[in-house]
Amino acid sequence: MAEESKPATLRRDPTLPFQRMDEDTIVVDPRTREVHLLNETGARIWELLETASSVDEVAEALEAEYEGAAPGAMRREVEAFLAELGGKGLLLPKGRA
Amino acid sequence: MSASRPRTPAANLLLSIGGVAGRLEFGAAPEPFLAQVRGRYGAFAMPAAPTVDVGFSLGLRFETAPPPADMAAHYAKTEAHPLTVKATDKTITLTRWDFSVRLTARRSRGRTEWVGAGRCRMSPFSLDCILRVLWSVLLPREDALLAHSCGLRHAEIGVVFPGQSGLGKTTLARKAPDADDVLSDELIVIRRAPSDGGWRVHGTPFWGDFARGGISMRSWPLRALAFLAQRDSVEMSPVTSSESAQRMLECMLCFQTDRPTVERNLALVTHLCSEVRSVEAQLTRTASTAEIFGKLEPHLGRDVHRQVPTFSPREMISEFRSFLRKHELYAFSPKGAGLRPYVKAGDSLLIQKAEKNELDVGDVVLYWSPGRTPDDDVLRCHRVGTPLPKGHSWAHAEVLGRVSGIARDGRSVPMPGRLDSLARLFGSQVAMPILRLAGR
Repeated sequence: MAEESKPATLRRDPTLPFQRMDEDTIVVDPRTREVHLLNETGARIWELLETASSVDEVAEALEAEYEGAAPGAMRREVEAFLAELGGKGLLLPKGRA
Repeated sequence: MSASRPRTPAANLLLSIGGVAGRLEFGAAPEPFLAQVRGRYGAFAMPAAPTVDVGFSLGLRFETAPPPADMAAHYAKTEAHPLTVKATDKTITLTRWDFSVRLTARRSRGRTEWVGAGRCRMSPFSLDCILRVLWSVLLPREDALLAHSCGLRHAEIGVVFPGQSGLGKTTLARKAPDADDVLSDELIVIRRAPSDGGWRVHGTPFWGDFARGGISMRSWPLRALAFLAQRDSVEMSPVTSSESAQRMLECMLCFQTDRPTVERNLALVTHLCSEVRSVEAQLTRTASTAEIFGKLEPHLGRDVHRQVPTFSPREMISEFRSFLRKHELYAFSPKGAGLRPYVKAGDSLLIQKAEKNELDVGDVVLYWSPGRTPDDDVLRCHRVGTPLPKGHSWAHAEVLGRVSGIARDGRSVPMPGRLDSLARLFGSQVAMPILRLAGR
């Protein structure tokens, strides 16, 4: 019997300098010289990704914090956001330094 | 057979840009090249006194190179050796196909001075690149930054218009009715003043298209960051501090990618953008500066027209020099009774632009003697032919002008005959009135 696969987890790249500013967070990627501005929710996700987390774990944490999120909507948004961060090279799979 | 051009012996240039002074010691170079260098950086040059605290001292050996015969090979060489900047707490190295420079840190009197040497192709563009990079490395270490921006003085304040190439920095600069109000059309310095914590904007000699610009070292209180955007109508839209920081970081000149430097820059910019008002300046190509500042007015705060003293004696003397260079003659009314009976109430002293080689024995001159810090610089009067005060030397001073007369009751009267006494009085009494009155 095959072992049940664990959901993939991601964490933010710990080498990237960032700064909280009001509700937002600014992330600088020196490799690409790009400056990313994360809004309040994005900043909270960035915070959660200090430790490796799956999409479900992030979505559940946000659903607990933000009232009124439609079931499933939060997960889709988190998934899209993490894909965007991953596409910009700001995330690492669990285990990578 | 071609005759070789005469080469001028080694020359020194002491520049102060954005409050950071740098000493350049050039190897032998043809006079036309050195004249070009002095022309570009002249407004930011100061008397090369050895006592001045400098951020760096750099000896540069110039290398001549014939025009490339094979352009393809030349382009391949430039692409193979792009600009590389490495800066740590101990060394700074800059290399490119046309220059190579290395400086090391020396700690002295509680401050760091970078000392080094290098070689540079004898091209003003190569030299300019070295200087831009050096200042971009050193300024953030002093709570300051070099940014791609047009800087304009408006009344008694400064406004910075950051923007990448093509967003209208030069166009905006060219619209200014008074060219002296343009601090730069390409790179400006923003610096936190150590004395009051406020932010100030400084002009630079780094203008686009290698245009000669900038008139003095004077800085102005920074009231707004107005990020450039090309639109169909002129509007100013407030932007949040975080948006402002993101845009400012994109405009900041920085060649280093190491984490400590990026973190320092990030902290510097977030402080700046949380303390200075920011707007998006949506401009049209035809908008006048009057229209632009009319729309900006609500974002500039109060007391835009309130006169403020120059930030340091060095900035004041530099600005005074710019007036004399431009107008040849400058009159000011000394306050107080220190010059009586030679100068009566309501009189103005007439200062005429003069160079060292135009002076005669007996002339009373104004000269700039730099001190260790910008606050230590002094502007003094002296009668030519008499000994200079202790610690002063003509080799390390710059003559700005000659006291040519006194304006009294609408007439110009010659200087009194007792020049000795007047010069003695000037030495102690005139410096501060000029400090106060040289502001526009």
